[in-house]
Amino acid sequence: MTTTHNQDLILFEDHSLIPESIISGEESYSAIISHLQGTSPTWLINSLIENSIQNTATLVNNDLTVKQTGRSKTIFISFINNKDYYSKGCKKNGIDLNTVTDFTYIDCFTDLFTKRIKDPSKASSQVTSLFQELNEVISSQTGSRKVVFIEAPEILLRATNITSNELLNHLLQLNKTCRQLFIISAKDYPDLDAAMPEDPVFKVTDYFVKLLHRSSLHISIQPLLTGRANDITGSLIVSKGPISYKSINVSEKEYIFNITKDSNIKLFFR
Amino acid sequence: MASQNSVVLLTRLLSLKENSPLLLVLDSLAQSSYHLIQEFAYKSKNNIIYLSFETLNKPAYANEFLDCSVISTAEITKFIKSKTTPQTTSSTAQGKHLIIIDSFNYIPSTDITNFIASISEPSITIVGTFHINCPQPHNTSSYYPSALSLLSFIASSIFEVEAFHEHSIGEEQLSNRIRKLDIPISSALNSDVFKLTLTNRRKSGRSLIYTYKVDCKNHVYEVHKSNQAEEIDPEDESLLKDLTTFNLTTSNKQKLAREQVELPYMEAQEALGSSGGAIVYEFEKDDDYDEEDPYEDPF
Repeated sequence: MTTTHNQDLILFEDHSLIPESIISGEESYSAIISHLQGTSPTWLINSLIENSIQNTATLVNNDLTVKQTGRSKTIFISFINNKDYYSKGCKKNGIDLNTVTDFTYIDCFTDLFTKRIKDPSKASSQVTSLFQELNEVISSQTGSRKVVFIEAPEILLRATNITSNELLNHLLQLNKTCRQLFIISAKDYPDLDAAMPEDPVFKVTDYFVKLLHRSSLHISIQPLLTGRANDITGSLIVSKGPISYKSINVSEKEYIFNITKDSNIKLFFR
Repeated sequence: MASQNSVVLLTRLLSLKENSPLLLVLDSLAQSSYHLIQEFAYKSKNNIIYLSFETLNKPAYANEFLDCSVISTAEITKFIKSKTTPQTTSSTAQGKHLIIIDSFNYIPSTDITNFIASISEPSITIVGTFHINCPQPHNTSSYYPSALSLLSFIASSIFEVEAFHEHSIGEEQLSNRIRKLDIPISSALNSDVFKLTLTNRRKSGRSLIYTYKVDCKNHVYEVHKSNQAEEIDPEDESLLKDLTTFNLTTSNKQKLAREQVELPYMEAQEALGSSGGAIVYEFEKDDDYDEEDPYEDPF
């Protein structure tokens, strides 16, 4: 039996995950982290949060070991998880999100349909105020070195009457407040032939296709296409988007990964 | 010669020397219009106004940039009028303006013609992208055409960009993966070298269709000939070689003999040559000929 060595996860050609040239640059970019049912991207998000805050990636990259304090203001917005979920997850990465000053968590999950959006059938104005609030929180952070993560905004398309264009316009404005926006979305069951504009499948497919057209980086996490294996959790594809980064190139690669019982991550080139 | 002319046509269209009010670019998830739009900007020496529905950063080539995601079409029209009126413009001697629209997909099909009509001027050329992978909504008034049909109808030229397929990914496999929004890794996708199918409509209404290989890195365009077209040659006898032990080819002597064979219908035409195109029926002995009704159908 041959032995295979773990590979380091890299997203860009300078062997980094979130390069300094993007954080310190003047332009804004969007990246998509797409996943399917059965392959949660939480392990990747935890590592990206860690990299955004202090430039390390303990669990996925052995070369990124030098901590850099005050690297960026990291803002995490989630529509499906509360802060505890990521606080617990990031402990394995050696970060206590409750004490990191450069990290802001905006919980859009706990009171989404009790306080923020009371009438999902007439949600347009309430969603607009929600995104205005998010933009204000991001803008209130000092400096321009900002990295924003937004998790599952497509829930608004499935649960309210807003259109895909409305959500995309809000995300465009949000993206302009930071240097790098990571949009984490599930892409289960898209249908490019959907035709009813009110149908959630139509809205989510339209949202995803348009998002892909404006993105610079796409990270896709999915189960093995060939079926199940005991020692493989899924595959991860890093590919460039249609909009090029000005200062750096994406390192396009396909990995397979295995999350062990003790939550260690092993990556291999495919 | 024809290929030279078609490259000249493409260059003239890219540099806005042809009279084309609306140039429609159709792109997909496999090949975005990003590089072609940059080629327009590179070739154009005009005032460039960029209307952004999905673009985050102002491109370096744009003289004016408008974020259209938060304003109405009336406000967009007002902005364009203010930037294209002769007293305010700082454009070239020709006074032409290039308006780039990053995506028509954000404008409802019921508003799209009004919007284009409201910003059109003789001095303006509009270059707009339509993403064909976006699902097309059915209109509430069921007989109203889709945005793509309307745009294809009113565009004076249509540029369709496609990626060159690598051998590792077949066309069908790529299409299946894109339908699942699973974009494979391939240097051919979203590359600066791509296939461009140009449909140019002349004033007479006749359309000319050309296919090019466009290299945006070196700004080189050449006519692309598909491999299939080259293969079809009915006279190519080399294809018949080594197929069987029989001799399937024809020698020159056999070809000559074949050409000299008199075909039966040629002889028949000679016999009836005097009666032109008329149908002549010659009665035979068993035919029932009625003298009282000579025009009766003998059949």
